[in-house]
Amino acid sequence: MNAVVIQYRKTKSTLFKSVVIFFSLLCTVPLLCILYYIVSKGTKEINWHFLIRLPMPVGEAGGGIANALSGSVIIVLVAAVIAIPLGILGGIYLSENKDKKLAYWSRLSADIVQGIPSVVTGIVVYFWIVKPMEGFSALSGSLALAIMMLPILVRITEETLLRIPNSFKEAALALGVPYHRTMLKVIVPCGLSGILSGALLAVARIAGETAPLLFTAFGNPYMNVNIFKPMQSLPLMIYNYAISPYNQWHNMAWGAAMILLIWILLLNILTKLATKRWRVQL
Amino acid sequence: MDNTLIGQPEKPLLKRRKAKHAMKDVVYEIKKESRFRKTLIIAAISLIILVMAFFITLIIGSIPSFKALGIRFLYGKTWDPVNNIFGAYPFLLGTLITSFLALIISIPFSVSIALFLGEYYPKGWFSNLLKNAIELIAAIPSVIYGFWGLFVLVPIVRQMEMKTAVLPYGVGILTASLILSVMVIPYAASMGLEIVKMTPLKLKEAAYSLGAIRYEVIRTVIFPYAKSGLLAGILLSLGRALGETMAVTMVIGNSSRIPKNIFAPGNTMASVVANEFTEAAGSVYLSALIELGLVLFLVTAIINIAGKSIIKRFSKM
Amino acid sequence: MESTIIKSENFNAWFGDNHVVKSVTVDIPKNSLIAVMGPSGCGKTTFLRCINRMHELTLGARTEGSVRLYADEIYDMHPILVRLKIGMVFQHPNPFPNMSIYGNVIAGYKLNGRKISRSEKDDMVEDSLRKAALWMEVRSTLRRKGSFLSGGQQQRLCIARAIAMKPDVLLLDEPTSALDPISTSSIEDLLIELKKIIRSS
Repeated sequence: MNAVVIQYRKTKSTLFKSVVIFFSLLCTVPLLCILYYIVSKGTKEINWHFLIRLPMPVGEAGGGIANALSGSVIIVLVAAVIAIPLGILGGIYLSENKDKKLAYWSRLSADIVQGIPSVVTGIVVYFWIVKPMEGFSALSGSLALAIMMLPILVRITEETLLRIPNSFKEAALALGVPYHRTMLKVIVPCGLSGILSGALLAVARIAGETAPLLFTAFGNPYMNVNIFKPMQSLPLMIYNYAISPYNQWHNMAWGAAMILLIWILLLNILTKLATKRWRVQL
Repeated sequence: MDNTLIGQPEKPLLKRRKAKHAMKDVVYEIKKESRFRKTLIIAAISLIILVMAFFITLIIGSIPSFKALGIRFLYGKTWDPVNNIFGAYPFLLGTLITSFLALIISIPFSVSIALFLGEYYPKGWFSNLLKNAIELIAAIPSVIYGFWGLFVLVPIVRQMEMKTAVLPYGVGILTASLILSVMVIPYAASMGLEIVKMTPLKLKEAAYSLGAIRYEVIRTVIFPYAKSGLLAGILLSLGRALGETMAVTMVIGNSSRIPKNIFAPGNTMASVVANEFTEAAGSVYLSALIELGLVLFLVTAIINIAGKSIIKRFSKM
Repeated sequence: MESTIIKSENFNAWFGDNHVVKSVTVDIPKNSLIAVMGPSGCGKTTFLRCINRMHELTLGARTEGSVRLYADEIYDMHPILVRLKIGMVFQHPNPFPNMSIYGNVIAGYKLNGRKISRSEKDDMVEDSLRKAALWMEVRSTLRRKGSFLSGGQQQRLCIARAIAMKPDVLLLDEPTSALDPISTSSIEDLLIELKKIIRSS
């Protein structure tokens, strides 16, 4: 083989590597741009009053996002309360009955639910809750978000529990410990860090969801803590204010976007901490 | 029953009373145990019921539209709620164009990231930085992408359009595709990464030992091996792109006409539903929107099942 | 039949189509230490696991014939009851990783939801650890996690955990096979000691 060919091949390889690195780094450009915009526009808006005041009519300065902030927290919390127990139980079933027919079908169902566009979830929950109860409500929004959380929780719980050696289950059962106590007091605590970070991840994923809330929680310009009434939430507010024609509302939406982003980032950081902090040495 | 338990046979009376008490506990626990097993089964079944209930709800909701419009719904070229004409073709087209365009734009990026993290820099601060960046891209809510797109990307695209001969809307199919492509990158990249990592070391070593260099190994070993896996990754990202709502609806222009080119405003199925659902008057109008939801549901379900089964077959190889 | 504690008659076990245990008939007298020996794969473990019905955790396992504990047919009892009376120590040490040494010893009670007083707990932990010849080594570190112990200590902890439940029978499935020679001999000594103390196995 002559040196020119080798040199040519080497150059091609280096070139390819540079292209790969270039493209990889290029996709951080939009990210940095988005972060820059939100931070630079958002920090101007955010102060204590912004967090604790209600929105003002157009033209009056000093409005806040208290209703959206509280609404988001309530809607997401209720969704978590609905989804987490069901998701963990489903995950336990799947990890314990790997090869059963039912496990196959419910795993497939979880995959399908995970892929359902969020707006379709909104439509369906509208017909399940909003229409029979004759009114938009925060509860229906929570249900829609809970449905979106469910498959994430199920799959993460399943994967976490499958990694726990069978011998701990055997040890507990051999002591005459009933099955439910074995699972809930030995196996689930052993996988706590994984399950916890899965739950946090699921919450982080749905905290910014807007589409399923459009026809369920609907939004509300006033303060409301009753989950049977329409409720404002941060993503909904950002959407409504962003497409409005008023400059002042756009600025408020940047502020709200920054708060939402901070919230979601905190959840993501917590997820990482949960993975490290509560890990049980197997 | 004999109660001579290991340990203190010298205190039989106390032991016996305790054993009796324990017996009652055990009966209670046995009941709870079978209740727990049933609860687990119910949790597993509820997932299946959820999917079926989604399907049934959407079917029932679309019946008026089926009856009034039939199959014409899918290829009708006009969407005019005022005159009760509902043809979903513009939205089907808009959805397909935005999604495929977004995928095509994102593929070089996601493949690069997969190779970067899976082959060139699997460890170290450089790869951690990129990994965190990708996770951040996935974490940003779609409404924020839409918001940013509306106020930053749309003016940029408008500037570009002014220099060419097309009408400078700013909003439109291209803008939506650009935003979508950024949003899809993390999914496609993480899928690709898993697949690149699965390439057996033996194959790579064999190629290296024959004198191949990095690029040739990637082209002749990793790509052919990962072909079907990458296909699945693309399918699953397509599923995400098809259903994406908020970011698209804010920058696509929401026009019910068939887009003339990729710079023109258009609309997607998800975006139409989000925009018009709450104000849909008339049962056929509402039902037509639900039927769009049904189409989305079926398409994403099929894409997901197909993608996951390809990956499953791939990982068993 | 007062002296026989376990009596198996014509006992068979299968995993799928694999006939693992073939018509075992054996009487195990009370207060004795019995060893089951044989080449690997001959079904020792399976037979032991069938005695406290642990084989039911394996998919496709099935049995035929009878095993009696005193006069009661094991396969007519609920597995929880069987396992409360027949304890087991496994091949590989498996202390619960989410519990302390103290918690591991009383795990059987804690996990079963039995309420026992603080002093009873302390007594039980000390007593069981003494019997398992582990007390002197861990008395100052009772609150540490069980997984910090060495392999041999972990296995003795598992024995302490099993005898804390005061079972009628204790099954030991090659408890030393995963351990080094020194730990092995200490566990063998321990079993002989145990036999002297409690005169039952």
